[in-house]
Amino acid sequence: MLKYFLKKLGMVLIVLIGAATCSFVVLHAIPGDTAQAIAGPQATMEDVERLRASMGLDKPLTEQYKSYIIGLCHGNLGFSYHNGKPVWDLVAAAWPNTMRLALSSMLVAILLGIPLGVLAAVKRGRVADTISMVIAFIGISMPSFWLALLLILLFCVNLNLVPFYGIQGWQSYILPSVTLGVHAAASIARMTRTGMLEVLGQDYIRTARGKGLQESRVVFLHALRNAAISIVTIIGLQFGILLGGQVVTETIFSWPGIGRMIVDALNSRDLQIVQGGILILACTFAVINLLTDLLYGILDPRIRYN
Amino acid sequence: MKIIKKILHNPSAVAGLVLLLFICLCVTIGPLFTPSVTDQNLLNQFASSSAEHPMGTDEFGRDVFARIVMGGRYTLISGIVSVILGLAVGIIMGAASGYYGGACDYIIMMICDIMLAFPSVILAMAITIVLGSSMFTLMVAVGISSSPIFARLVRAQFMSLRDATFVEATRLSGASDLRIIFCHLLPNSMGPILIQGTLRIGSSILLAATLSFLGLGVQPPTPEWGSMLNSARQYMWESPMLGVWPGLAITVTVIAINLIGDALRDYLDPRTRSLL
Amino acid sequence: MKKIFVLTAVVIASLLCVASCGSSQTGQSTEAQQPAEIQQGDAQIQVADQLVILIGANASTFDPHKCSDSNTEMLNKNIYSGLVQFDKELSILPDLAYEWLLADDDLTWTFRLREGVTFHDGSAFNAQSVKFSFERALAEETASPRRYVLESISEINVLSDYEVQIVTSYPNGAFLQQMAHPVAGIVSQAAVDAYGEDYVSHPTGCGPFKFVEWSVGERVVLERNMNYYNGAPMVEKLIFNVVPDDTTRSLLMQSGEADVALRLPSSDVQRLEKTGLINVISDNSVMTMFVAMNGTKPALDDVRVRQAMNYAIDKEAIISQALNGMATVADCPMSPVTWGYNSIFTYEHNVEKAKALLAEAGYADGLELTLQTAVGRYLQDVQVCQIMQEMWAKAGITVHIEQWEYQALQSEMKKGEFDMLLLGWSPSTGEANQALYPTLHSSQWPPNYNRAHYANETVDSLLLKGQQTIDPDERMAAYKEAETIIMDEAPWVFLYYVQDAIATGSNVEGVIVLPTEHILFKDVFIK
Repeated sequence: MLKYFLKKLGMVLIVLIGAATCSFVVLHAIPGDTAQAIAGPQATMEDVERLRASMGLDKPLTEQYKSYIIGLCHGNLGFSYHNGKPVWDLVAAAWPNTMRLALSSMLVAILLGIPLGVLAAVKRGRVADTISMVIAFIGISMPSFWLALLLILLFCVNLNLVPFYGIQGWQSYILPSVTLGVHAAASIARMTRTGMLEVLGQDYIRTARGKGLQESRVVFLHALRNAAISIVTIIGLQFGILLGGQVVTETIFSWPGIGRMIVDALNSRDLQIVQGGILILACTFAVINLLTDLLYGILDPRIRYN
Repeated sequence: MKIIKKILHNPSAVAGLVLLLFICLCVTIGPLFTPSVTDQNLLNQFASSSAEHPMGTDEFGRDVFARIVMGGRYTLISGIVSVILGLAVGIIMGAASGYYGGACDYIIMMICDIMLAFPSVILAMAITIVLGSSMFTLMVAVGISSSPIFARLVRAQFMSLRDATFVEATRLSGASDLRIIFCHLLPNSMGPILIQGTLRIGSSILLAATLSFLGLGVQPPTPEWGSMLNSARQYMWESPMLGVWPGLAITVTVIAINLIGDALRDYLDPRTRSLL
Repeated sequence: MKKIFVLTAVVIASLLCVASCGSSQTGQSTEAQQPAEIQQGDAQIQVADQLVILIGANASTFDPHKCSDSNTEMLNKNIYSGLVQFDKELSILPDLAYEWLLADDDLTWTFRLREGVTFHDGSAFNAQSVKFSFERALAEETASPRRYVLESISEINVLSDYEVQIVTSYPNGAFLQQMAHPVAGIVSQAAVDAYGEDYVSHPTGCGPFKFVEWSVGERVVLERNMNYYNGAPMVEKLIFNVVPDDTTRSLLMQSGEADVALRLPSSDVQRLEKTGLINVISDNSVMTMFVAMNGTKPALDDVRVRQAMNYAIDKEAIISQALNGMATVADCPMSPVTWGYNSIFTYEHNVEKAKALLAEAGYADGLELTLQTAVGRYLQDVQVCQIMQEMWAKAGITVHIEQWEYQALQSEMKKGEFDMLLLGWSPSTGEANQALYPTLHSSQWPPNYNRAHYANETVDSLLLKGQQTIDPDERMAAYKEAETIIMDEAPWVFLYYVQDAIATGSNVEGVIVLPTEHILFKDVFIK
């Protein structure tokens, strides 16, 4: 077990350094001059060059890369070119917002998805199954930003019920969580249904029923537990996809999270922030995958006892 | 023949096929019957649905229905082409990785893991910005972001088939590596590849729409559903329906494709075949 | 089986703990304060608790010497004071200096400073503060992106505690306007010395508002300076919320959750005015929109072609359709609120004339050109390009539009290989030198800002004369002549001047909107 964990951890570290390198390379390949971006559209060329030198951007790329990686090892993510604040501070401020939204979206997804999937599996072939799966289908086919626009149109523009910008108390979580959660809920519902169907067809379920157990006990105590493996896997997978989809959602709802931070910084060529943000997202992604793998390892007795 | 019969028995597959055929029909023939996509009529902005303009007009007075129908071409083409690109890259990576194994496998899988460590939207954004904004770079960016998934799939398939008897036999008969890969291993892996490919068309369309929504992608006045949604955002007050039509079009198209993909999977994947 | 659920619960619980750690950014939670009542003239105006203002972009830096975006400069204008300031018509008013004299050599300016003014940290303001501040702005190590505004300064001398002398290297006609620029804001030496690199988190000036808090990406909070020499402001706190989405800003104004909103989309302006609860202040800004035509390219090097490009465009239509009427047709290379403006003439919409000019120049069969534009950088930029594309097509000119991401376009522009560019230019000093010199003087070809590759010897000498003459009438005459030549030779397609709209609640009074896109809150009060 420990070896499994350590091996995975090692992979994660290598992937992270690779990600940092990749983002460094790609970001410096993007056309657009950071010094000019910060100097603004009216600065003279001398001012731009002076600014470039003061930020160390005139050094050769290999030197900049070296100092970046060394800094990373010391936990230094660099400084924002625009406002001089350490990237770590900015990231540390934005990350909890992103994670809170991700978690609440995941909660919505689980609360919507699993019951829907169980319902569909139990009522297989009947109307409830068809309706549930149709809903789930629409959920995975809809662009999330369209759902966001529709929700805003309905609840904010017409009914003026909930806030849809920034964070103003728990109500602000509703719309963004639903937007992000629906897609994940749909996938989870489908996977739950498939997983449950597989399990419900097994012999031991028939035995449990034969023993006279209540149907609800059969479904929840036995079937769901055994389907948990595939459900947990899909939850882990969806979490990662959710993090990616948050970029657009954060932009629409003006949510002060990492996704929006990266997009803003990309537009103003504040490369240190973009790299820092991407690294943190990749880190989060990797940790979640690791946890999912671990959970999978624990849940699946086949792996546990190997 | 058995496949076709089996598929026709599956109601959702039939629904999907019919829908897709309908969309393709609209998209190929439609533009011949609708008014021009670029004709601006600044006196008729934000008109609501009428006989002349079934979906109303946009901020330039252009007919929305015509733009949706025309935009379908770009959407479908970009979805299919980006998946083909992703498949091409993914198959090469996965084949090399799965067949040769060892260091080759290690390095390629490391690259895939790194690519998968980025949220796909950010990866695609970075590629589009580096290569410049256009239809083509959009397809490249979306294609590249789905290639690691194909690579992994192909690799898994190859690794399980690599030591099969028929492969050994072919090798013994003197076939070259390339021949084995492309004429024997690949055809036998087509099942999962086909399923994943079809499903990826749907997610590629969504990713492309997301990028266009963020402002990267096609040039004006090209009607593309994602960028139409982006412009609609500004005019939510004047004309809320402007935001409904393109999103509806995307959803319906992706539903159709997913239905077909699901049906394919139900048929080809032995695990779920028993559940049919 | 139990173990699994315990484990899952632990994992989820730890994730939740992690997520709830860190600074919690809840919404504005201001404690209700007892408003103090102050007698102001005849009316009794209460000091309001707070004013909520919506801005569209993050602040960049509160160090006025390192700031280069107008959004943050607006904030800095409320934190820092300069020697002089602008009023709504961009005339010069005293600020920290109450009097100034120019010696006969036209190079030596002497400013007499107010006494008894203190910085927000309590340190005293005097001539030494002025010297320190300007020298810091000009220093190599500071690498100020706005250094060009102050580059005419050659030396600063402290004559006495409240008298400072600034010597310029050439007679600078725009000197006072440059002194009103945000980069000329006076910073506290004590604060800079104390905080060093961290000064950005403790900006200290002598302006009407003090810096309190900055959550990057979310909010900036300023509070009133009770010791402001012009009288403390009538609002306790200014809360600037960052809302990047235009539509969101107007919706928040409508629901009453904000008192002031900046940069509204023109489509929302009329709708908001109709509700009666909101006042919309809109006026010409210094921003001029134009299409720069590369005069080194074949076809565009012919003045007739360039004039034809102008005649083919119906500017009124663009303004009414794409901008909801929130702009003014351009009749000069700079906007009416800029000092040095003269109304020269407008190229009226005349497709026949355009075609005739093209035929004369030898392009009767039509012409093909490329127009490059950024996306979302200027209001309705892409839409305006699309409309112009149609208009030019009617005159036989086929234009391909290339959409660029703004920063990528900046780099591309420096190469100078484009045909045409859609651009906006707002002279940060609000006067003619900054409006015309960088964009039309022959020494400023790309990579600098004369993107039209315009070169005219007469215009060059006129611009130089305007720059280096003190007498305003002489300057104005030189600029008028230059503008006439420029309009004739049409290096640009002169489009329109942008009108900025800000919305205030109907109970909010005293917001000062400067044409330089700076908004002052020192006189704000709530009825």
